[in-house]
Amino acid sequence: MIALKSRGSFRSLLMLAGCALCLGGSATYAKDIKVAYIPCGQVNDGSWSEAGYDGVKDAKEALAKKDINVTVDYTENLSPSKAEVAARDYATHGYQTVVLHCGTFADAAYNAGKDFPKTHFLIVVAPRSTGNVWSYIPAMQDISFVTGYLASKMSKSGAVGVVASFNFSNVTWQAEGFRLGARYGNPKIKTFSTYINSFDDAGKAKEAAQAEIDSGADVIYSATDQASRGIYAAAGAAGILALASYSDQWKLAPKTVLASALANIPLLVSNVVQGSVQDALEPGKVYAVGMAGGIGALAMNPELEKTIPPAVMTQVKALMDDIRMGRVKVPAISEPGKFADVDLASLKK
Amino acid sequence: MTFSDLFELAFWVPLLTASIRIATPLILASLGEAVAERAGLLNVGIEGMMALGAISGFLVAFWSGSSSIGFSASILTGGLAGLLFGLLTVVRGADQIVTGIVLNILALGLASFAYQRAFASAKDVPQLYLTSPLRVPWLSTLPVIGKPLFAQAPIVYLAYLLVPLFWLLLERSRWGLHVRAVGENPEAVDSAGIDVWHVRLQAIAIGGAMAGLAGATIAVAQVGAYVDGMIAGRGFIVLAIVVFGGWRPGRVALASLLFGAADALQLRLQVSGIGLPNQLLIGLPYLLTIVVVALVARRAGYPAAINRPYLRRRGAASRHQAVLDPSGLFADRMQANRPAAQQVLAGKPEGDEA
Repeated sequence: MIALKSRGSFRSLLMLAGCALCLGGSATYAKDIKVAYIPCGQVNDGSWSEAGYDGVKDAKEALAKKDINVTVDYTENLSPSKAEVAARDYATHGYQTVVLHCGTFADAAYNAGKDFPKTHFLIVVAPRSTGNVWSYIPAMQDISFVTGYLASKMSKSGAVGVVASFNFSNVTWQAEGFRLGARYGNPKIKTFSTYINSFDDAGKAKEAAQAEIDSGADVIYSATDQASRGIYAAAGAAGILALASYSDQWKLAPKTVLASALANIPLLVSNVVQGSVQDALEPGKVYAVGMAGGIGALAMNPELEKTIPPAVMTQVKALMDDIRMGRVKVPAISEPGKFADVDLASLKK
Repeated sequence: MTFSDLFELAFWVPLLTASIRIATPLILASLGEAVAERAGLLNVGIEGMMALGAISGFLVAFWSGSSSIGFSASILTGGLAGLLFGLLTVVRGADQIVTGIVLNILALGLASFAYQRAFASAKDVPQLYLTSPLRVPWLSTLPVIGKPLFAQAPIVYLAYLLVPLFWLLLERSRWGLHVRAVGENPEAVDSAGIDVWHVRLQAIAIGGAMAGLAGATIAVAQVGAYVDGMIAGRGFIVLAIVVFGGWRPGRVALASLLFGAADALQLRLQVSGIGLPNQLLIGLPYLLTIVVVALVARRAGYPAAINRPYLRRRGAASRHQAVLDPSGLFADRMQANRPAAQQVLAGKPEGDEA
């Protein structure tokens, strides 16, 4: 969706530029724009912060083809208060766009946004967009719905579970999306969700998964970051399946991780950065992008994929097409357990 | 699972099993911390020492292919980190809280650095094979308690053995008497001819070693992987557990078990879909910690000499004064210790018997 939008607006921008060319008669047209990137961690962490940085670099390349010369600078490993200082500093130095790629930097973005109205601030997973501050969110409930559907079809016990990091915004959408998807695949299925309040506490993640296994779950979806290692340990010991999130993780547990729900963060970041640089973002719009916008894909474990019945695989692919084309709409549910109140028939358009 | 399942054995047996699993690293770390605190050393750096134990245990177990060698390495690393803490606080007389905080930052950074150096790319995925639980013959077939208590990872049985061992060591041995005495009245111990520094360094080395073993328990025996931040505040929970357990090995182990049970229970209540907000459930073990510490705080008597450096060693004062205090800044303090040192250790110093 957003990709189309920014491309469209770019076309109009090109036309404008073309007109400027004919009117002014200048031989070259180049625009120099500075973009700052402030992630949670380091740009080479092989995970969240690197994915965002890849997106910013993609945007730079894409814009270069349109004769917009983008300089990218970054500052790593900041606390939320230091992030605000850095954001203000970049704004003072004439950066047109400041990307705050960390869920805890929302206040930094809103505060700096008030004082620097000419700078665009992009903040990941924040509740609202105001004026010159835009929130962008990987709406993972779409692909989580697909993993839930797959889990329900693979479960022999009739129970599946999700272990999630924080009961917060899009993580909750993810957990509830999974549970709703499982119900969609099998209305009689039992689903569990457990929040561990950590991205890294692998020990607690293992115990959370074990608690679900003890209650009969035989497919467990991970909606947490590095702590997922504990989920795979519990699932591996119990001989059941796990589903991963955010990046392709089957190599972490080749006999356990059936598939990974990819977020495609680089595409999301690249699109909003391009939109911001070209002044194409709609004021007040939260860019929560799901599968219709290319955010959310399924990476299969090449070995375990063979154990999925062909009929199930066909159904999963059909469901993914339906969500992409908007024939099935997955709601963003922000309160744990509310998936149970959704009328399954209302999902189909 | 439904609410009625809460009254079934099928709920309680796995709950007890999980409680013991979660409690094991806490038991190990808090036994060591109890010894260190009894000697007058509040080891705030325990979180970092657990992280060092986790990374060293994991790396050595990964390279050697043996978890026992990994555990040994974590004990060594933890012990050395403990001695570093001791060097700064006992020998140099630095403030224990500040030193502990600094060591935490250093240790957490070192652990992360070591992992990144060992595995060049973040895409490498070193993983340990986890051994299945070791069933103790006959005992593991006992009804109800058999499986939870006697079908666990081998490290759990080590924890069982260490609880009475630490009790004997701390409450019943001559060395334990020295430890408790240097934590209460180091001057008196000094004048009785016992080297305060030696006893304190031994105690903190044990405290660090146990923290290291606790960290390795999570990385090597439970998860089979190292992840930055995997200690996740357990070190600070241990500090609270030691206060709650009144610095006595048996009670400290029970306090660990209570915390483990609270955590195991809240995870299962979340799974049960009980109508409570999950923020409340997640916070349950921590709320419990705050409540019990608040309850025992008034009667909790920290060892009298905690966070009080003892800067004079018997018969070695003049020799060490030049090293310790070349500028003479602490001369007054050293002098002030002298009259107290004249007190003769009369009978057994006060110590709580378990």
